Amino acid sequence: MAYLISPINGYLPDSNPLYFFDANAWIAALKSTGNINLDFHEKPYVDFFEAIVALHTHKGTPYQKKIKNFPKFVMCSLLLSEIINAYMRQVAMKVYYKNNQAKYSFKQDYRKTADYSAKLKSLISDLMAFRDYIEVLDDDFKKVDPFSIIHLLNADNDFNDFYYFYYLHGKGIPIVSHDSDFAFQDLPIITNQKNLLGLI
Amino acid sequence: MTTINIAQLIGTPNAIIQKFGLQVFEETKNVIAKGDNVELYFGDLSNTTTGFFHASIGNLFKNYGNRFNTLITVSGIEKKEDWKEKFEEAINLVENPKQATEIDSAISKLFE
Repeated sequence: MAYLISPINGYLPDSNPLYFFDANAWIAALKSTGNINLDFHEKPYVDFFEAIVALHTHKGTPYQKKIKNFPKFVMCSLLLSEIINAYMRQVAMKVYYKNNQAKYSFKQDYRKTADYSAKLKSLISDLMAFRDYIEVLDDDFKKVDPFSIIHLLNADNDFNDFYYFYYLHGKGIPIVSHDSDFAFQDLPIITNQKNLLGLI
Repeated sequence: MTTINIAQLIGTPNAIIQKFGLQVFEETKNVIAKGDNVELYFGDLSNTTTGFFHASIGNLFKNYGNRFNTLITVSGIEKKEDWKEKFEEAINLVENPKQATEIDSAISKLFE
């Protein structure tokens, strides 16, 4: 057992054929406005995400021979659900209601607004634009065995983190995440999270 | 008038990352700096994203302000129904910088 954690800065994007970006990294890559005045944690993840996409422009050029892989992003149903829900609730709704989000219901109030429809349409359109760069995989729900996970849950972790660990374990697909809870061994993790980097 | 074929410039029909938008921004600035106007041609693209529009159109609008419409025209943007919406959203965010900051702040919070 060992931590297989790599710093995202300096990691070569063509090192692997597939990457699993967590929902937050996806949201940052899709929806940050690029306001360079912000000192944002997500920048290394956006840069790495974009570097993967940019690699594909070298296909069919003389430079292609120098590239080990033209990687794709893994997508499973749990991840897609997380991206949509986290973005709509924690970004779109939050911005719409500004500091008063707690006064409103996502279902009863926000989902009835024109802003909800516009933001959802925009998010779906952005996700669809990446179709050629996404490898859709099954969730392996039966294989992972959810009953082996739920008894491990406690106040310090959540189901999805455990699920992703068991789901990706042994597949050789690195997870790209800033989540400090993701301190799992024997799973390649690419991060800029200082607590995770402190484990290596 | 110089036409910039975006797909040719970025080397892909998928204008889906901010890096590609920044390429369009820089190339457009270079042409305008030489005294010419620019037509941005979207027609050979297959996909675009809001991130691409923020980095290209948003930055151009931020840079040229009211002169944007006299210096830059767009064509082929009607190819897909929502491209014009993304174009307008990018301009809207430049006109409402507070909202852009709120979006980026909400995203940053996800990483805390």
